[in-house]
Amino acid sequence: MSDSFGYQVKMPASKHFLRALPPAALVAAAALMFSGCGSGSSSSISGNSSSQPSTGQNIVPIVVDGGPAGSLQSDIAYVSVTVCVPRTSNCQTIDHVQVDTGSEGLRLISGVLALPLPQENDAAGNALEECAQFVAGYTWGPVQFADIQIGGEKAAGVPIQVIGGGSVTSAPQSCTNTGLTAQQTADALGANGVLGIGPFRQDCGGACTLTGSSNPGFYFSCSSSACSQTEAALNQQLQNPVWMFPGDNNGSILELPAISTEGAATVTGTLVFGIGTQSNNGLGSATVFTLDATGNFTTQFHGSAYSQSYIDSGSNGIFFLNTAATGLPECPAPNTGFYCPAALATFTATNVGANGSRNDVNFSIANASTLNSLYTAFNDLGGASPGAFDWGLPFFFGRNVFTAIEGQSTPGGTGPYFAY
Amino acid sequence: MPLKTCGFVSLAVAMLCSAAAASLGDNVASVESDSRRMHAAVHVTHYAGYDVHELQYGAGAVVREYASPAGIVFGVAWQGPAMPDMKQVLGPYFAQFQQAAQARHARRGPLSVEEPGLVVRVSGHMRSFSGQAYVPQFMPHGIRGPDVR
Repeated sequence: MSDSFGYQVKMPASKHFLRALPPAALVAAAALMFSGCGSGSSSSISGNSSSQPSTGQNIVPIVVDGGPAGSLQSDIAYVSVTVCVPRTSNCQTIDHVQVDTGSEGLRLISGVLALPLPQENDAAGNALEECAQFVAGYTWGPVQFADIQIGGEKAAGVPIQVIGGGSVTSAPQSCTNTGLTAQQTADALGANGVLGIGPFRQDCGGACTLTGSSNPGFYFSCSSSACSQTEAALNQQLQNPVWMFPGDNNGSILELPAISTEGAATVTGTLVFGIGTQSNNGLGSATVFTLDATGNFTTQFHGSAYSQSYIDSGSNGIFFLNTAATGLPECPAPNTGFYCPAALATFTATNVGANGSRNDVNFSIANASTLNSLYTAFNDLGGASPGAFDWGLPFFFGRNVFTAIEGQSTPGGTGPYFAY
Repeated sequence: MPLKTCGFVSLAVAMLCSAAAASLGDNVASVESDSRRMHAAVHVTHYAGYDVHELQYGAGAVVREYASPAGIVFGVAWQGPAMPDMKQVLGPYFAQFQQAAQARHARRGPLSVEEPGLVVRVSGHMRSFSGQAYVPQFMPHGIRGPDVR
């Protein structure tokens, strides 16, 4: 088959891979996968007036479902991404790549990637590898170049991370000494990869260009047997693919329909590229919340201000406060880390942008252990985070959430900002 | 607090540092030597019942070490573009933290561990990590967990 690159798309034999499917087929595939996980339900949310599916070459369907075959994730939004060996027709479409507004750059699990992507080397000719830190874990692997196609948008020669793909398989101490979980496999990651489309152009930015002890230690120069920490110029770092598109490159919109507090088996939505660049991606009545230099705004709750709060589609809950402050007990295993109130609990918090814009958010937290275990989409999954509000995927249901990239001009001003 | 600092440094340097840094429960005396070696600006603020040793270094990274009048580090808070070296920050409590993090593997978001002998929270996203750790039993009278920040 020939895609719109004009490339020949080679499909891997593994059932883990889905073709770049039209929306209806993607839903069917998701439902099929879901039933394979033991569900007898065929419930599916197809959208509502608040997030009417858009059409155009700048859009791509997303799905909240159980994740890669064999797993049953909750509140993770997935998209299919096509990657190609640069300037060739040797391409592969990878399904169930997590859509993450809390990071930047495309990362793919090496085990699902069947392409010989060229390695990015440093000035000395050594392979550039990365220890990328997320709040839930870390990924370790080489930086390689790929042409990327998402929906009808294409970016050429983009540095991406191939998780677990390097010759040095043991992660450095800057990864392992975080104490966080290694996310080196699709099973551990809950996805075949991560599509980081957050509010910055690169994943690390200026800090990783510094030498010596000022550098936070994400990038490494690796021989065939050993790695040492190195600085990486901005253009050597993982790039947010959105700002590499020739057009529609100032940001994106995640559109997911409203769902009930009982959740849904699967939910389909839309990822739209560009803000105010087409007839289908205007800001409309959305409020712009500008961000500080590190991507945060303030959330106010009961007289306290949490100045390091953020919106993150890559978090599978609304994480806020703790048991002492909310009265919500933590769940027993296997749902440890989530709240398990006796009854649905409701809260109101106020988001405040660096620009002073304000919005009250009403949200609910359900008992994570009594929610339908065969469902995968919930607007009321939550857990503790005493220092900052993390507005994860539950926040996105029923809202169109805009992410504007730093330095990029939009009708709502220059990024970085979130808007909804 | 070198170790906390070391987490932001190169692999080689971090390994050297690990022999000489203060961890949760250690004596605060090593903060000064660590700050010199790490080229970190250190600022000490005295409060009623405890001192805060603040180290600023690198690209916007800050580590605050909370010490009792007896010089015992009872709490650590941090903020920066990367996670600190938690093995160094937590010292003997690192394994307990790792187990607690693993037990919460279903969550994909901030981490909050509140156990009888250890409280740790980790929050943030790429470019912005923050957190705190303290041992309730070491807390001076009148100090509460949220004060470690």
